[in-house]
Amino acid sequence: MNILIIGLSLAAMLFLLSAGLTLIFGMGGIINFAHGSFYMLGAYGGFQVIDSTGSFWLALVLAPLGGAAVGVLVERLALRPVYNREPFVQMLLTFGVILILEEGVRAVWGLDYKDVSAPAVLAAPVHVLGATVSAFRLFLIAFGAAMAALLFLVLEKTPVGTVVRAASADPEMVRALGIDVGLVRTGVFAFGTGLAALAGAVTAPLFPVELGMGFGVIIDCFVVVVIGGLGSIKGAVAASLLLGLVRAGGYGFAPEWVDLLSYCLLIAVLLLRPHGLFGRQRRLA
Amino acid sequence: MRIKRGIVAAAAVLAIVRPSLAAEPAPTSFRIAAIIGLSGPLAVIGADMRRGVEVALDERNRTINGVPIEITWDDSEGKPQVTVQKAASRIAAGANMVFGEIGSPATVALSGLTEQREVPLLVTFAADNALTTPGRLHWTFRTGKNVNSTVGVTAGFAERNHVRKVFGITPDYEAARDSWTLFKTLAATKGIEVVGEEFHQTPARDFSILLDKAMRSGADALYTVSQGNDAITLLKQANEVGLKEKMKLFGPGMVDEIIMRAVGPAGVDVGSTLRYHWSEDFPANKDFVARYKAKYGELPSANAGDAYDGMRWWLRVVADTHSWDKKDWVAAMTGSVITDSVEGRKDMGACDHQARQIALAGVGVEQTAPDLPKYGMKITDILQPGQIYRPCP
Repeated sequence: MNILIIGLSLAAMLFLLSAGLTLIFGMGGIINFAHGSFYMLGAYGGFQVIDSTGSFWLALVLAPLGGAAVGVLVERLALRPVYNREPFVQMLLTFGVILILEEGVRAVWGLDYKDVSAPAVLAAPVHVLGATVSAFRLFLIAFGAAMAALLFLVLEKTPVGTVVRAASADPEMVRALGIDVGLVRTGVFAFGTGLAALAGAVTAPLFPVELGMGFGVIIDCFVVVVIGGLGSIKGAVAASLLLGLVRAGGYGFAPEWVDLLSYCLLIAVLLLRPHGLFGRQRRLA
Repeated sequence: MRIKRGIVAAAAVLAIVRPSLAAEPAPTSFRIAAIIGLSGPLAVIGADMRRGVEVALDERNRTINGVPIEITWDDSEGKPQVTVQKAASRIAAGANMVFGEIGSPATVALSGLTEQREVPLLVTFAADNALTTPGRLHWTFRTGKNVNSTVGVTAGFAERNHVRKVFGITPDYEAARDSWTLFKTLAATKGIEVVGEEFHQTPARDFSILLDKAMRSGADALYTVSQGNDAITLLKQANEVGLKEKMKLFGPGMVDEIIMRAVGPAGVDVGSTLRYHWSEDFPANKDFVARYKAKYGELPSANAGDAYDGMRWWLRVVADTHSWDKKDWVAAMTGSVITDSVEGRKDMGACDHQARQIALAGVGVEQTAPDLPKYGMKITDILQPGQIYRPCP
């Protein structure tokens, strides 16, 4: 039971981390290597809000807004001029964004670790079917599930989602219909970076808040995105669940081999479904 | 025969006059190549070490025997390959000594280079026993603590806190496994039973399942060799499930002032060895703390204190040789003694180049004094060198 609950909490964290990345790639076609840096920015922003106001909940609102605001700047100033260039130009550019964000965080908050604790109401351990888990983990599971449902609803069931999907599939056609595709792209990028910042703020009570924290998570994010299928939110949900449970099982039975198990899962999925669980092969002609 | 006699005589004359012939001319500057982690997770440690060294240089007015001291700071990124590459470049440019690195793998790699190039290496942080195995390295000196001493202190800590059953969580790399094996051996001699052990990858993303195993094991204490980010993750996640209410939590170097800033209340009452503490009651320490506070406006961390003390000791030995020959410095440092270090007397082992010194154990505490950070460390035990280190034969 403990493995299941921990697995679900890991899945929730993985989904929150990777949702923004898959959204930005799926809707904008951008491989954002700076995603981990937005995650870090969210954690530091969350720390600042909690330090100033004492409210973890307010941090969950303001940190993603801050991440989205920085995302708007990055998209407008850096990415927009290179949308029609080769993909490696975008990749190099997002590498540059990593350096800028890291130096920015260092200049504002310094080198020290920051302490972010779970809110008092979620700080106590709870007993679920014989397993001792923290209330904060249960909150994370619920929060991750709610975010997945919300994202799915917005993208699949609302006019905004329809425009975003259409702009991703055929931007020229959408532009011909009078819709500002540039604005859609900016919005999607900002929403994705906001999600990364939200992940940083909400998971900060569990991990060290420090300058290198973005590098550690970016590999996990890419594993989820590749297993789920590039650009698929449904795939991100499934991959997060699969990877979270495999990792939790690994911690239970072979903690020295957890990463190896994760990569075996990745290889197995790619062998069976080269485009990921929910990825679609794009037509070339 | 006459020729042979002439050669012998010439050799004898050369042997007599060798010191003056071999004496190195005074350099235009004394160059220190500092190679430490200044970015990524190690940056917080590296920055403090740098501050400690800078205070040591200021204390000498940044000169040694009338020659200015030049120090260069290179970011090792915590990687052995980068460390060796940058150190090689500095040595080729004429570095007189090397200071660094932080992590044991990079420091061991660095020691290979400095041995080969015959340049002294001063180590204040890395604790791997391989750096001070007797007779192994000639040019390397460690003024900080080693693994054996820190494990010995934690075993004593367990005994004094009446630990009977212990569960171990250890990172899966050689030095950490060796450390855990040594602890198990020492624990057995003190009647402490090891009821379970787990090994984890590093960096570790989640400890909750391992912590659950520890809580179900019947142990009254959890011992962990996890350090840095892993220690922070472990402490935060242990706090989530109220582990400290059920068992004692301790480990070598597990918490210090830096970690306490990261975990806050999750570190309170956690036992650890301390590399150095600003409150140590020695005149030289009071002087150092005052200088450090005046320069940086805060108390020195363990990493700053260790780096300061090591560099101060080394520069004093070099100055006392009145020589610019590296071999003379190494000979002088081997078996040297500093009686007024920030931790009192320290003896450099002639057999292994490991400093014999007092060792500290402490716990994380909440601090109420207005000029102190909210969370810090308190010394609980001071062990004398004879209790921890084997004397050189």
